[in-house]
Amino acid sequence: MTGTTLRDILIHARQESARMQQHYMGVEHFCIGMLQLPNSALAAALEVQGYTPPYLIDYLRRKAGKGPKQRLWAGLPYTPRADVVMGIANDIALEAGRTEPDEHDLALAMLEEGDNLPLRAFAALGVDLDRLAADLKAATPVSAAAPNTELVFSDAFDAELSVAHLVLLRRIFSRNGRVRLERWLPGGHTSAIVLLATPFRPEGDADAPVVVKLDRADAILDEAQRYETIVKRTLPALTARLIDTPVVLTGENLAGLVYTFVPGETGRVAALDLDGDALGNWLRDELYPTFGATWWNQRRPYRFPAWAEYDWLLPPLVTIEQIPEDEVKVAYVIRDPVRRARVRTLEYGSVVSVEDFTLEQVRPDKQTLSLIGGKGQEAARKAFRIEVRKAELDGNVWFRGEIVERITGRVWRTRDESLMHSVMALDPDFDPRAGTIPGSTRDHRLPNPLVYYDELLDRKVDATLSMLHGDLHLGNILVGHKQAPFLIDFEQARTGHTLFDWASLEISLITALVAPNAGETWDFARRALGMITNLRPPLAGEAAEGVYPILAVREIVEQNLAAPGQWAEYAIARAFVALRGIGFSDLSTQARRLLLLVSAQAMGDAGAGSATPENAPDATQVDLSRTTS
Amino acid sequence: MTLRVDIMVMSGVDDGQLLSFSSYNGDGAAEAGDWILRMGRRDGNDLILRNDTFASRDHASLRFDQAGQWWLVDNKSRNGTFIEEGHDEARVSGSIPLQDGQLFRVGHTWLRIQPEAE
Repeated sequence: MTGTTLRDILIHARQESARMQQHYMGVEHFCIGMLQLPNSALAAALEVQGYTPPYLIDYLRRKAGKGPKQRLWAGLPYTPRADVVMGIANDIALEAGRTEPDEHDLALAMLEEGDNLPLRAFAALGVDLDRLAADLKAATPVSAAAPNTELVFSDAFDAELSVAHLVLLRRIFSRNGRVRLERWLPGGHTSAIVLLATPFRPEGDADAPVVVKLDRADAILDEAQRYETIVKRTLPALTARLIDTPVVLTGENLAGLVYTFVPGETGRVAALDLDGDALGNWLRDELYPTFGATWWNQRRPYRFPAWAEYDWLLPPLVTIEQIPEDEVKVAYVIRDPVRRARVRTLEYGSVVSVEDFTLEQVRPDKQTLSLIGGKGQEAARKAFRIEVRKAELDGNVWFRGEIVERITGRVWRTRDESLMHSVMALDPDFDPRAGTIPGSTRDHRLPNPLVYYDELLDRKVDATLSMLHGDLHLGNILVGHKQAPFLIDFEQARTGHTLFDWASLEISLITALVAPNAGETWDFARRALGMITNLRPPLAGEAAEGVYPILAVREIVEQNLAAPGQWAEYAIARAFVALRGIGFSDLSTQARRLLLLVSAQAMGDAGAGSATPENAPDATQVDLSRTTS
Repeated sequence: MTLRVDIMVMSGVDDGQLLSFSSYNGDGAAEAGDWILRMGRRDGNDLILRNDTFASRDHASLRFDQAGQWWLVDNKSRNGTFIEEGHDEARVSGSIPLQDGQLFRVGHTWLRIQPEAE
């Protein structure tokens, strides 16, 4: 026995109820009380399935919601359902000859009652409830000892992994005697690490290779849930699939996922292993049709203001430093509908309150909160993000998805300032207020993205809506057996603007293939921009390598435009995806310079600043004669 | 004809409470041949959500039409009426058909029409 008693569980449960201002004892409080025990059997049985206690507690709190400020009754009554569950737990304990139920009894009672909020939440997360019951009944403590899996690095493996990553990898492959880490698959701009690995059976035979992704626990668990609920049923027959459930390293807030992979005979794995022309053809002839059937080609008409799909790519609308409420006079309240024009003019240090935003992320290590505009479905757009620094995390309960009634702070940085900061890093002499910036030729001027991005956010876009990958960049695209496309990383999979995926892929191609050859100076960047602009064969030179795949992406886009020939729809997507890229600190200076120019040009194509759009060269006009050859 | 329905509270302080309504006992009201059950914080409602400050006084109603279909009707409530859709929830504007066993939310309180016992 673990030595914990019912009393311990109930103490945690009561505290939870008080923190959430609920003032009753429900099954959800029992459940959270159990998950908070130091050696919780329930937590262990759920961790085997890949769910960490903090993630589950977050989810339960979101489902239950905080209570009102005022108390409507005295005492701490049990809900009728909590009475039923406690009754069942007592029966189970009596049958086993115990005078008082323990954690196992209470957890099993919760499963037996079958209708309570925690079970509904677990089912929604994809927890296997039968397995949970079986593991609890078996009552054998799950071993958390680090397994002795041997990790071997192949010669081609050229990245450093932290100790925590290595421990996590050992745990993921605990059933294998040995694992060879083959390759690091770079490409994203987040904390995620993606690897190709070959596990070996204890007898020594090699298994099929797999793709392993390691990231923050909440990101990995979200990805697994999206995979289960949205992605799984839309996948083609031969492609990457999730194996098993996530594996979590609780103390480090790290988790990992394993995707199947079936390699081809050529040893190519990453899409980037294909050279320019072959990559272009492959994107158009393999990737697009394979996933298109259930994703992009099931598009339907969709009209939206650009911010609804693209605001989330930009820096936070404003960053504030939290201060205690009631301490000072609030100068401005940010609430739905958000007036961006007003928020833009907020001065450093002025006091603002944010009301009824949804809490998207809590980072105790950095003492920050991220809030997003709107509630429920609206919040899924992740628009109008507000960052809270120096957040008061102690003594308050914060959980992801919670509607934050009110939070007050001093303005630390506006979105304009964040963007300016990124641009100044590229060119200290940049004039953020100038209406235009130099374009690809001497007398060609482009709208300044810093001046025009905000009005473009209000542009109504006639477009289409479809299922999306949501993060389609070269690092997430693998080439498998018989050229089959294997996509991984479904954390952002959703229904949204069809062209988003293609704009993301084009920008990824530009940074990976064009920018490295674009030289260090602005002149080189402008020349590279000119090359992307006038996409016409014959293309010559080293940098032209990267242009063929872009041409292929444009061909795909042409088939996906809501109205034939109306490229402004795509220009808006490119403008914002490129603008996001100037903030990626892991990109080279020349890549970020090029992206600033790409964004400027796309804004021009979308008609921003109305620099005579009729006469301006259309960046997206492509010569399609190549396709027929 | 006597109409009956059992509604179970699925969250909050009254979680697990079963509420039985019957036209024979004078629950609900007849309106154009349909049977209407009113829900809200005010005492005069059929289903009284006294403990939910997020519920409006006259929040929503359940309508049982002559074809035997239940409808969930939002009365322009402040905090909204929702139905469960898959693992998500969708806000109800106007009225929407409701299945036995499907969860719906009035204010912060989740409710469910109990499927008839076999």
